[in-house]
Amino acid sequence: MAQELKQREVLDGIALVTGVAHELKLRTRLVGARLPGEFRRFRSFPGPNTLLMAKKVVDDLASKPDAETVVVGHSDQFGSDASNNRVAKSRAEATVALLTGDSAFFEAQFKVGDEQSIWGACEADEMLEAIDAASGFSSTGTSLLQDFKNKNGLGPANELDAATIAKICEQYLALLGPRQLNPSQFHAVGAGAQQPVLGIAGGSAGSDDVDAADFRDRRRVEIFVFENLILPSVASFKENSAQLEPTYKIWCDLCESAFSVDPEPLTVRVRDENGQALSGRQVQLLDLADPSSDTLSLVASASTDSTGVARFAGQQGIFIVHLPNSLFDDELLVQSRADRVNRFYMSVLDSGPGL
Amino acid sequence: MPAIRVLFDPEAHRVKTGLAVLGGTLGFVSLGKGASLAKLDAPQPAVLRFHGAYLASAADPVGERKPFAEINGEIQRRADAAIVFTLPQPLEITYTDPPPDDPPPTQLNLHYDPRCFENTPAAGESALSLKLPPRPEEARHFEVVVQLEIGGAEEGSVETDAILDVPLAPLTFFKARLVDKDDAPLAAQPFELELTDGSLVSGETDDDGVCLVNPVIRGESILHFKV
Repeated sequence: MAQELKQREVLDGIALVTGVAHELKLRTRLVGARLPGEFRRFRSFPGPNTLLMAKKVVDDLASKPDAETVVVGHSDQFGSDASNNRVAKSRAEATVALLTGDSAFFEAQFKVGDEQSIWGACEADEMLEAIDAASGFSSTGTSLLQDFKNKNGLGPANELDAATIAKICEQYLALLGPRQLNPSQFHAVGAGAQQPVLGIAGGSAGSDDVDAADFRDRRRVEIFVFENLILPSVASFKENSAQLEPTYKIWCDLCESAFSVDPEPLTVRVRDENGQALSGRQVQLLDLADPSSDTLSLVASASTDSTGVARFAGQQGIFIVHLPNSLFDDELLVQSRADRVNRFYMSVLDSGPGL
Repeated sequence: MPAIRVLFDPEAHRVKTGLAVLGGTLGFVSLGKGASLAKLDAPQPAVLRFHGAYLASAADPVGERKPFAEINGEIQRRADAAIVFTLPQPLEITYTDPPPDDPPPTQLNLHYDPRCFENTPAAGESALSLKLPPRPEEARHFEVVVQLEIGGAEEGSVETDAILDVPLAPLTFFKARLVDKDDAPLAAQPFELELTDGSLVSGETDDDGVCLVNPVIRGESILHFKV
C-alpha cells in the first residue's frame, strides 16, 4: 500500500518497520532560476548581470536552512565536447562560489585554466564596475582599478596583483550581502552543450532569435532550489549527455515557481577626460526603431546627478545615447535588455553645460 | 609452513536481546594443523567453500554442515609471509541451491580483509552479500564455516576454521520503493538507513526505485534521503 509522506517527515527521516515492503511517494518543492545574461564564450565568470538574481536566490535561501541547491551549467556548441563540458561544469561551480561567497574559488580562477578560460583583467573590470555601481558610482579618475587600489591601500601601481584580486573578489562577493550558507548543500553539475533551453515554471524557453537560441542563450546557468530533498537525485543527472537529459527536464518541469527580478534602469555615467563625474548634463535617449527614418525620435531625457549618472527606467531596446550639450555632440549606441545590467559609460571632453 | 586457517570475524551489533550478527569478515592466518598446500609466489587455484547448518537452538548439537556456496580464485604465499587470495573480477558467489530473490532471502554481509584478498568487490556488488540456504521454520541459529581448498585438496581441517554463529531472530530485510508524485520510480536516489542500534547503512535505489538493505536488525528503521 502506498504511503504518501509529507515533506517534514521526509526531512527528518521516516521510521518504517522492517521485514515488509513499502511504497513511498515522495514530494519536493522546487523553485528555479535561470541566471540572466549569457556567459562569455569559454568563460565561467558569473558577471554583474547575474547579481540581482543571485541575490534573490541567496536571500530566499536564508529562510530555508534545509534547502538543497543544484546549479546546472551549460555551454554553447562551439568548440570540442571536452572543452564544452569543462566550461559548462566550471560555470556551475563558479555560480556555486558566487552564491556561497567562496572568495578562494574566485581567486583561484585567476591562477588556473588555459588561455581561453583563465580569469583576468576582463573579469576584474566587470567586478570593479559592479563594486563601483553598488557604492553609488563613487570612483574618481580614469581607472577603476587604480581608484580601487587607492581606496583599499593596495599600492600605487596600476596592476592586478594577487592582493588586489583577493580584495576585488571579496568585495564583489559581498555585493550579495552577508550570508552563511552551507557549501555541502550546493551541487554543481555540468550539462555540456546539448541541453535545449527549457522553460522554467511555465516561463519562456528562451529567445526566438535563432542565433541566440543556438549559441548565446546556451551559455547559461540554472539554479534549482529544492526546499527539502533533491528529486530526482543529483546522482541520476547524467552530465554532458548528448540527448535531452531526463532529470534536467524533470527539474525544469517540476519548478512550481521561478525567481524573477525587476530590470534595472538603463544608466549612463558621464565623465570628463579625467574621469570626473559630470553632473547636471542632459542625456537623451533616441529611438533606433526605424533605421530607414532620417530622423531619430526622442524617447526620454534625463539629467546626470552628482555622480554623473542619468537613469532611464523601463527602457529596453537599441538606442542612441546623445549628449546634446557636449563639445562634440557625443553619441553612443547602446542595447538595453531586461535580463542585463544596462550600465554604460561615456567619457567626453568637458565643455561645460550649456556650451 | 603450517596450514592456513580461514577466519570469519563477526560483524556484531548490540541489540536488546544480545547480539545481532549481520555478517562477517573473511581472512586468513597460518596456524592450522598440518602443512600448507599454498606455494611461495606461485598462485594456485583455490576455493573458499561455505558450509552451513541450521539449529533450532544455540544449545543444540550441530548436525552435518552442508556446503551451500563457494568462491573461486587463486591463492599464494608471499615472501613476507602474507597469504593472498586473488578474487576474479567480477566476483560471483556460486550457490549450490540459489534461493529466490523475492521475498528477500536471509543473507549476511560478506567483507574481505584487504590484507588477505586482492580485487575485493566494490560497493553494490552482489559478492558483498552471502545468501543463506532456504531456512526451516524452526531454525533459530545458523552456523557457517568456510573451508579452503587448494589445488583440489583440502587445506588443513575445516574443524580448525573459525565458525560464525548467527542468531536468526534479529535478522530481516528493509525494502521500500520510492516513486515521485506521478508514480514514476526514483532511481539512483541516495539514502541512508538508520538501524535500531543507531548504525547507518547507505545506498542508492535501483532502476525501479527500490532501496533494499539486507540484512538489517529487526525493528523500526529510519530512512533518510538527505545524505
